[in-house]
Amino acid sequence: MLIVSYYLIVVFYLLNFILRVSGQKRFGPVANSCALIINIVELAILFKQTGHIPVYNIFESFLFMTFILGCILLFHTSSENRMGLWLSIEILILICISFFFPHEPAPSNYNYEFFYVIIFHVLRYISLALMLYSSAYYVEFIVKRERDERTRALSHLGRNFLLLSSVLFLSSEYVGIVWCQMGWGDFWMWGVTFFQSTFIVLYLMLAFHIPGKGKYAEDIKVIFGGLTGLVVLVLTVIRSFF
Amino acid sequence: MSKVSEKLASLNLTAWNIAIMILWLGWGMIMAGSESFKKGFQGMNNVLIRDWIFSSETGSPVLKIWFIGLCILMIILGINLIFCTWEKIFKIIRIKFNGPKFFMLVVHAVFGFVALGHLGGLMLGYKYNNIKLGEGQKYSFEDGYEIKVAKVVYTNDHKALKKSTRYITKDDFDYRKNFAQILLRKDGRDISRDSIFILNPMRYKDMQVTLRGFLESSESDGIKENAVATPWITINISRNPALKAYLIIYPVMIAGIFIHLILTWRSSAKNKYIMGTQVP
Repeated sequence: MLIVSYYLIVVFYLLNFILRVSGQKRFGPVANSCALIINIVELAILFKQTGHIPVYNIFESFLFMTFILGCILLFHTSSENRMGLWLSIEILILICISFFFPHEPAPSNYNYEFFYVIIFHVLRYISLALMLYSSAYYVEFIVKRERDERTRALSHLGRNFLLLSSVLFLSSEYVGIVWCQMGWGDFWMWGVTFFQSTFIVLYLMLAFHIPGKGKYAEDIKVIFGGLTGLVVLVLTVIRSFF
Repeated sequence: MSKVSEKLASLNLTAWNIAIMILWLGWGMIMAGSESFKKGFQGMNNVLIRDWIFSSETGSPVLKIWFIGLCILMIILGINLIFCTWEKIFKIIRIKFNGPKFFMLVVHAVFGFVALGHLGGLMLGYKYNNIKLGEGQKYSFEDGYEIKVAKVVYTNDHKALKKSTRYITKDDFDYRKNFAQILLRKDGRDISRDSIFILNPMRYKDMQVTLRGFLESSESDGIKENAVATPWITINISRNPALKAYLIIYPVMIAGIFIHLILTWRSSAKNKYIMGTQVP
């Protein structure tokens, strides 16, 4: 059941992408809605099987993120820009990555029902989904900016969602600090996972502190902002090996 | 403003410094992932950094160089933050004060305190990790304090004791049912008694006694036969005087960023594009 519904999700998100690329914009949202329904059913099955919120391995957490991005995609039916297309591509990237990982739920660790552990993971993946969403705005800005000056707003929306994802990421870090303090008696540990989190915080700081004005500086800002989703995604995959 | 202070306050310095910190941390990640440095990082976690850095016994020289480099980068960021806050943000506010700029100032100032709180956690108080104790055993540490394990209650299958905590499932182990009764003494006098669970430590003033896990009791340690079945516990004892302040200012920083975001969200309204749809 788990595998069947997973492949159905893949098929419907792929169909959504193909329909959007081929200009069938009426049917794209239909395919997306079907994928979303199966996506939430899959998450419910995972929850029922394991008893924990499905956010603890790549398979679970990426399905959690495709669901969030799929929901956001519902709001992008306008033909004014290609946000729907970029979001569909991001969903497919998540699915492609999850394809190379075991299609099974994470073994229910003894602390997965601990409040701070749940909130830490949920906030982290919502934040990552929003980072990808902001990247979509930046990509759309890069593609459109030469044609229309109004598209400057896209860069601002990218910045807004990047800042919102930063707030959520820092909130997850704060919850993680409390968790660490309660579990180890200290809020900081020298190790890969903590370095990875700090790496992301520093990257976000860098994205918001690019100096200069004018087109060249703006280009660099947009590139750094737009790459955030990808950078964090790569770090998340690397982290799963430790 | 002199040229030196102008440079120290510049966004260029901020960006380059953060970029180097990212690379430095990347180096740290590679080292932390390699087997040869794993023990070195464990050593860093087991004691306060203050004790680790000045000890000739613990830590590899490479790790110490890496850590000192990280500190230097952090100090540069701190100096940059002070100069930038003073020279730029205050100047802007004096000329034209508004909400978003005020919250930007708050966020930057609070970030400085968060970094100081972090430094406090590394340098102040004390930390004794991986103390293994059985029922009735004691551990003495700073200022005449002593911890005594009065009782260990372990209700799950002992097979779980052999597993790494990373692989222990909720079927193997219930962290709400297994605990140890701890007695805290100072100069031979009982001052506090509490039960510690995993993820539910005992606190006394700034001190924290944290239950890290249970382990099989060591038969070779000459424990009576009936006591062998009762698992030992691993505890961490720590004291961080900066903890409360740190836990308060961190969410203040997040709230500051969030309010700044709300106040600046609609800057794009005049551009007529909102959520991909054109606003009339």
